[in-house]
Amino acid sequence: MWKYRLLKTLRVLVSLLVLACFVAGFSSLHRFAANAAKGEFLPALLRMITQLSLISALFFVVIVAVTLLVGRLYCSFCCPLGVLQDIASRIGKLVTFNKMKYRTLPDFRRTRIIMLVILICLAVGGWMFPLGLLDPYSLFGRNAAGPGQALFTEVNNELYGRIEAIQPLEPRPEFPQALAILSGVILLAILLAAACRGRVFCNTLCPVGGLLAVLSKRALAPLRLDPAKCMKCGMCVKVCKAGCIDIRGGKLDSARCVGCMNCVSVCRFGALGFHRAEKGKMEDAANAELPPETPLPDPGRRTFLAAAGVSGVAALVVGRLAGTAGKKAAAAGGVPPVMPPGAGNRDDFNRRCTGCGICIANCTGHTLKPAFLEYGLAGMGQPRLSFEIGKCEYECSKCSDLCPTGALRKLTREEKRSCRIGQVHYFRERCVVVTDGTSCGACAEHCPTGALQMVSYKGHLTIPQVIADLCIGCGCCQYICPVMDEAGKAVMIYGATEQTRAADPREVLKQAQPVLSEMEEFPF
Amino acid sequence: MERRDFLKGAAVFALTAGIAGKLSAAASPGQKPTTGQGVPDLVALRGESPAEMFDAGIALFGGIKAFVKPGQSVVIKPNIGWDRPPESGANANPELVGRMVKRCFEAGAKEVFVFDHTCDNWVNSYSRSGIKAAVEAEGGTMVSGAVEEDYREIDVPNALRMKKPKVHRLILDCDVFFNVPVLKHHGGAKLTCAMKNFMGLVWDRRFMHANNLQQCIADASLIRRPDLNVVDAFRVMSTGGPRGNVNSIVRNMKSLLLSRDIVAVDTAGARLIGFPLETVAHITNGEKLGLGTTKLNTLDIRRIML
Repeated sequence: MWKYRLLKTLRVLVSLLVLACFVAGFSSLHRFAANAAKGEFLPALLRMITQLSLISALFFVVIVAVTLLVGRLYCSFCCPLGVLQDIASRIGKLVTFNKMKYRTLPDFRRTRIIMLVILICLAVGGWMFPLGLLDPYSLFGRNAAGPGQALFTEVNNELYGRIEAIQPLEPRPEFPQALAILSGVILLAILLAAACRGRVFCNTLCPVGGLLAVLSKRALAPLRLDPAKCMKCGMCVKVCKAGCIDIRGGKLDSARCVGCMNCVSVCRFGALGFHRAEKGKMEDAANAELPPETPLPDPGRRTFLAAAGVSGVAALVVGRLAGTAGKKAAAAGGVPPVMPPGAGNRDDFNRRCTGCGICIANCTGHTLKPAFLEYGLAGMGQPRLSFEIGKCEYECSKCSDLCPTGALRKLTREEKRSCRIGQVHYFRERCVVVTDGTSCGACAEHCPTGALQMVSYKGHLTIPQVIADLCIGCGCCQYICPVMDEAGKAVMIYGATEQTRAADPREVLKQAQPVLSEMEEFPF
Repeated sequence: MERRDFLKGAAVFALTAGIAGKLSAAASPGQKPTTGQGVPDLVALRGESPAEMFDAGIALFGGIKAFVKPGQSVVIKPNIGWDRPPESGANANPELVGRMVKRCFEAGAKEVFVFDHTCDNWVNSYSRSGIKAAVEAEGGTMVSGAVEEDYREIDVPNALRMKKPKVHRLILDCDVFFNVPVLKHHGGAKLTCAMKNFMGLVWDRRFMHANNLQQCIADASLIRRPDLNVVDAFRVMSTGGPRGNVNSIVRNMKSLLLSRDIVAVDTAGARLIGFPLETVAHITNGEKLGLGTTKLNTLDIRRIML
């Protein structure tokens, strides 16, 4: 028993460390910590597929292997949403003064599987949004990057000036309200459920939980209940957050067990432990799924399979429709949205990004914010550049470095500097040099590539001229442009649907470097 | 130790004064010979080290102690606008700023703050410019200019366009203010020098661009008269400014200008980089506001080659 207590303590420590990593990573306190996201299940799976990343493949294989060996330990050790739920449970216990409050929950196996089928089919069909909405890491991330970081900034800036070590944080673009509310409400509902009944979400709606449950059901040596040793005292049931122990039936459902090790650390009879199934010695038949050889009649099975199949096909169709819905409308009306560097093709990007928001939380230029309908339905919650309070910093490639799902390809600094995410459009009739007849040049001043050049206009006034080949669409010009015209600024970035490489300024602006004689004396 | 430092300082002073005397005597025809007496209006230096040039230049103004009294708080406001390395000439020279911090503390300054309202991300600009490292090595404090909470609205009655700017608290609260611009080309304002550097004290940059930039720059210079303008003209970006790009021409002018007269020092800067005065309207606007004079031939200018 003490061994298991130790294991449980280890679980608590590891999970808190993971949470600390994410808090640091999402508050941009420590950017390296944000790389922890790459070890999460869905991101690792996606990045393995989209970028053929070996590291992500390794993470994925390790998670799968551990699950096949001892069950869903991932859910208790590594899942940030799982840790949050555990904290909520803890708070629930403190508030109700009831340390032992859980009970056996019904097995929502079919709900879980149908949910999983629907979410996966929607994503495969082309609509990632619902999967991203319920993926535990992405759900956590979206809330951390939005309301979480806003709160952090507020508190930090309140302390700035009072505590010397604290540096001020600049505000970030606001999240689209509907999105913030949607993910906030889902998170609160999950945490409320956790406070009352434990890991309800993990065994009903969670796609990662659903998938890992399928694997851990077949695990080699998961936590098992030995009915021969069990005295049916019920202690384990009262501390089981997953509600997966049925003492009357004498079994622990390893599909739903999240491996928190609360039960083993309270059992005084050694009835619980990590065991291999032993024929005859342990009544394990109840624990396993229907043995494939025994054609045990299950009246609901056929209906269930049919339902799963139908909903899968329907989800594929819906996903396909939603994936293209609104795209044309969005493209036709107004300015096309700008994707972060490394996104490549718009359709690929929309299909790959779960909208976890880690790029948004770490954007140096305070430029990234989640799209609402700018990309169409397909891209809801995915990052886009907004130049209201910032610009894409020329020397920064954080978003593409950190993207855990591979929706953004990792760019070298050199690639980033020439990655064309959009194209500048200059509206001469709105420019202050024309309307007011005064100097400005803010756009050319901020342009890092020389795509905007000030050329002679009237008298000593100069006016911007676009060298389109050089523009990378970073938006420095749009950000600083002082025009407050209703139609838009005098320089606007139109997002690219296919990111390409901009020309090399050294080639385009090749100019004879004048030979400068050393100045002999001061010209005054 | 202190005695040794004093002797060293005295030696440097004597040496520079001597050299200055010699050089001015040998000054070419057309250049007004320096008088060598009293406090000069403008000092122009050329040398191999910005820090050494500062030491030699400030000596002619009576040394750093003429500006900084023990226990005072000092603000050094360099141009740190861009996330670009020192060799680009986009930001003020870190060696110069570091030396200034050091001298301020030697004069007994209580604290020395360095800040700018940067254009690029402030954290990255502070570090890539090399200024953060140089300042902190000498014990100075880098302060953010990036959040609006640090700016207070003030009245500038004499201003023509920008009468109520929001100005960084450090400028309003400090005892001594050194303005340390870098001389460079500017796409919009034509020239970046001492007056243009005041844009980094003001919160709303876009207002300035939208309301006659050249007048707003002159208006901003009314916020507070710097105790000294120290213009870094060591590496001078003469095209593609103010940010600069791979094609910008950076000239090694190896110069430093010091003056209390912000208009005069900008006029000298424009001459140095080779822009006709009439193309840089904010300088003449500043003269009209009574900030100084563009007539360099009326001034006591010392020209020193180290």
